[in-house]
Amino acid sequence: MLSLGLIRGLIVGAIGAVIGMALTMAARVALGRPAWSADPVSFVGAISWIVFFLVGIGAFSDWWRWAQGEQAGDPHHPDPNAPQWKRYFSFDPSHKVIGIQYTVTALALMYVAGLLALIMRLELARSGLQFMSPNTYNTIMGLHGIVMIGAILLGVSGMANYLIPLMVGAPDMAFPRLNALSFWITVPGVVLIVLSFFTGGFDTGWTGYPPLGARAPLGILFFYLGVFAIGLSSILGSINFLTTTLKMRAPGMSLFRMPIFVWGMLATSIIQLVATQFIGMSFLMVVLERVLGMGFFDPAKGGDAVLFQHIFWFYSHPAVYIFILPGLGIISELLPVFVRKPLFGYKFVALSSMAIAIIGFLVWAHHMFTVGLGNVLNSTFMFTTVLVAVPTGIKFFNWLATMWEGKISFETPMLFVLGAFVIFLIGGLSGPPNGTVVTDFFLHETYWVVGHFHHTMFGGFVFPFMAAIYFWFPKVTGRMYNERLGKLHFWLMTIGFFMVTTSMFRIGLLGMRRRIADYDPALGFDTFQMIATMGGFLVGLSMLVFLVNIVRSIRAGERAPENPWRSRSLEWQISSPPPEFNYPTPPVVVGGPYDYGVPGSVYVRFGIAGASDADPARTSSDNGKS
Amino acid sequence: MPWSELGRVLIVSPHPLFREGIVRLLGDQAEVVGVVASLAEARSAIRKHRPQAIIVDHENVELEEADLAPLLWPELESVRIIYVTLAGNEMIIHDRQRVVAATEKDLLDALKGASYKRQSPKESLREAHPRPAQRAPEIPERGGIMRKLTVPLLITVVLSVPVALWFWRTDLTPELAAREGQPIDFLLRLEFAIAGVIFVLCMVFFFYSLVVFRRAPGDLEDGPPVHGSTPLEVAWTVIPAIIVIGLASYAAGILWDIMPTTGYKDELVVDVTGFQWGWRFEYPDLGITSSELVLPVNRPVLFRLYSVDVIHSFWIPELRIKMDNIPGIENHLRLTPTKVGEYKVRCAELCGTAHAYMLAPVKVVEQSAFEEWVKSQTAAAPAPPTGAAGVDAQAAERGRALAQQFGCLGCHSTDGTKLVGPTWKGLFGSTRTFQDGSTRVADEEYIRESILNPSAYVVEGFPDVMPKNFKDQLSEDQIRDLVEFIKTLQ
Repeated sequence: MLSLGLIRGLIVGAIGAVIGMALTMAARVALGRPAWSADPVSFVGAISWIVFFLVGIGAFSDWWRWAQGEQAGDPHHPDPNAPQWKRYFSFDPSHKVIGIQYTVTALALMYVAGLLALIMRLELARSGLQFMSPNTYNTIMGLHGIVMIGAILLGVSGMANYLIPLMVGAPDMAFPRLNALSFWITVPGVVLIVLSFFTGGFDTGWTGYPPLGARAPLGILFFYLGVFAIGLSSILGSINFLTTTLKMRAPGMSLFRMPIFVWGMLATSIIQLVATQFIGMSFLMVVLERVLGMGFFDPAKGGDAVLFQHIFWFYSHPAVYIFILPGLGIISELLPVFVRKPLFGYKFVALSSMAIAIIGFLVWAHHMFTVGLGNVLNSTFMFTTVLVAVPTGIKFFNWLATMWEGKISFETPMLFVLGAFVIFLIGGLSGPPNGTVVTDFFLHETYWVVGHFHHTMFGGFVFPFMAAIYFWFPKVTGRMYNERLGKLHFWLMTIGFFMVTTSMFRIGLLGMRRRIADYDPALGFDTFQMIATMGGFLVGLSMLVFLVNIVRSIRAGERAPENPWRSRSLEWQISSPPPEFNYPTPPVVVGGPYDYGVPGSVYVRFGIAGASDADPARTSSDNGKS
Repeated sequence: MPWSELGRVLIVSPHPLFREGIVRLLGDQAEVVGVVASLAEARSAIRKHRPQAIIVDHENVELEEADLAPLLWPELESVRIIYVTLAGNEMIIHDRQRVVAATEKDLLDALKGASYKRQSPKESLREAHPRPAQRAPEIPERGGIMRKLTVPLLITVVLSVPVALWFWRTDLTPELAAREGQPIDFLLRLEFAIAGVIFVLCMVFFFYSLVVFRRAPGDLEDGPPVHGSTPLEVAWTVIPAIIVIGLASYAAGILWDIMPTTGYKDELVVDVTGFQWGWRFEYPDLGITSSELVLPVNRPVLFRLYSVDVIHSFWIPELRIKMDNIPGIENHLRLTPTKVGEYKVRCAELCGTAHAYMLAPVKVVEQSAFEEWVKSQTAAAPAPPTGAAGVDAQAAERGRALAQQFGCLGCHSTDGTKLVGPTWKGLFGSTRTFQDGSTRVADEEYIRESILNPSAYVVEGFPDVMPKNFKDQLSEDQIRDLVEFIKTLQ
């Protein structure tokens, strides 16, 4: 049992938490205060839990050895006698192991958060309180939000971890140990978020605005710290993505020969690296209000409640681009394969991701049109906000042009790509009414916004994520998924989803407020709410079909052909699943990634003499052999 | 042509004759930065001289473009690599384009980056040697494209009109009751109509492609290798930018219209205080404090928004605009009700447990009715009911004012109506049944405790949502007054 890293982590982490809490209580007694005070004691306990969990799982072992001047063993070659599955529950630096760890955790969190959504939908199916107290509802709603956000961040990292080194022709990530740390730090974070439910919950929603957040039950402390841990993971992960993308590409792969998903992740990683600190800081400041009585956001102590929102949204708006840019990258990546045509306007599609990332930093206050910023600031942020539509539109038009005169086929991954197109289009078109200040005065905090947001998340992440899972399933497992179940999943999910969001849009325009457990029967929302609930359960059903498909196909799916999609991308030119270090002979990129239909064109060649000494990732070009 | 326009050129060939021939051919039209015999030499020459173009002797059939790839990394993306072979009389320009029967002019054109004649793939000499190949004609003649676009464009136009009209003419929002809401509703319709047309445009091309360009079973050919079109990219960057900036400019105009920074003449001032979980309305000029919002029709109102605890948001959906009540900040919102009727204030910012129930009644009335209401509020309070044993009439009257001021009546009715909390009518002296099944007679001590610690006794059938902070807000005397008031409600 103890040979399993996860078990060691849990045990050492729990011991660490107890020690941390005991020390805090001892210090309080020494200061002449009562030993127990929920917030400070829990705070130290939670931080110790995270640190000791990581110690227990072995996250710092190699660094510790190095610090002492010792050699660390090669972590890439674990004990050959140990069963393979143990790698997935241990601190393992292989990007493919980590990619699967992330993806499976993300899916597990999606199921949890989806279940929370179904509980909410049951409560909302009719007016009046059905079976929940308002506070339970509020907690479940906040948890649905934050667990989904965690699931999306982990899902993005899962795709990026598995795919980036393969797509750029690298043997692994630039910093494999840091990479494993980025994954494992999310685990104690997720545990803290789950713990928040059992420590009084929180009634603030996932935004945790103070002063409410400063007064909420103890649960919110665990919520804040759990998000903090996941945020740290996000920052560390982005360092790896950026370095790997910029420094470890195969020779010949100039920036404009990268697969477009890598472009999406490049833009995403920049946002993650630059912005994530802000949500961490905003949450930490509220934690300090609770633990040490500081008054950052408390007007009674000279603080400013609106300040929190500025700091919070400076991350949390760009965060939505963290969620969608990889997904839009997946759409751009898969479309040419199933259309059998080059991606139309490759450079424009690539650069539009960067444009979205940059403009995304300038729009945060559009979440705050009703806090009283004044006409000048409000209209400034309105202009920056609507500009996001331009690079987003570029993607859509290029996708349409890619499809034009292609040879389109409809395998499951393509269905999800097409579904993502329509859903994200509606997500995009429902945005400007929120982005223009005056209409937002009406729409803000209504179900219109909820509908808009779910369209962007399903179109920008969920559908592309599903497409990616089906598309690379043969690559990861060496087996094919079941096509009929895949299509059933798609149709159930799409129909269910539209039932949910169409109803949300409708009642939002009628004035249904967000984040309420109960609504006025006189407003006529009941029918639509019932439709939304039924749609929600259809989506849930579709995810069960997905689960059955994945589990069955891993165990007994047909052997996958080498390149089932006739893709040109690097990762499809090697065996499935790929060898430990990906490419037995170094790949050299000699053409464009999407030259489908170009006679005789070649994207990648293997085993070319002289390739490796010109590879700047391994030898610096100036100090090399020349 | 001066040499600077052709740029810096590097020549790679093992044959002196080839090298000198090319050098002489270029003459003073290009700056030859290096002449080398092998790839290994070429590498260092590239690093040293940064050529803009490399001319490679392609005679050696083993020399594949792939062999050159290591040279291209990383910053040489823009370098033009031109293979010239004397044997086949052809020329290949890095990775795709190929010119058969190349002439001196073709070479100079290629160096300049100018257009040159392309050959069709069938004329390719190199079936046996899969090499970076030429690209097929990318852009068909203009007439051809227009003909192909006719059908989807027609469908778009035909479908756009009803969709736009439907959005334009359908009432999707609640009844409108404020002057400031008119331009908002107008803009909303406009945005929906525009979005509808864009949606139709995209969906028509989307489904048209899915139907018309679907792959036939067994067809393993690829589609035409069209890589892009800069004019199209410019068009679909500029046109959407114009649309959204136009919309935003129009919206900014409306914003300044409906959110004036200076007051209206004759505006009615109402101080709106949000607290967990109710509303208090004070009319400072009239000396009225109320838990319901009564407004005269067609008179501008300045709402000054406050909060005593957490952030709330003051919103009457029929009046359209919402604005946050933030502790420590005074926000201003001006609205002009235009329609007599009864509405509700609905808190629009999550403010904790009972956020869903944070409502307050709104009555928009005729001017005369408003004056009457003002009179009734400011007139001496009616004599308290006498005869109830042990009731301090003056204290009860103070209690009634407190109940209004602190929003108690938002959740507790005085006439038996079931609101969020239990009614106060007949409360005193009755036997209460609680959630855990226990019972107790509601005496003075019970009421006092229920105000200070509402969770101590949660009446069956009601949620435990009452704010727990009244012990910080009310003095013992005030609580006694409230109890006296409740005692009168029999």
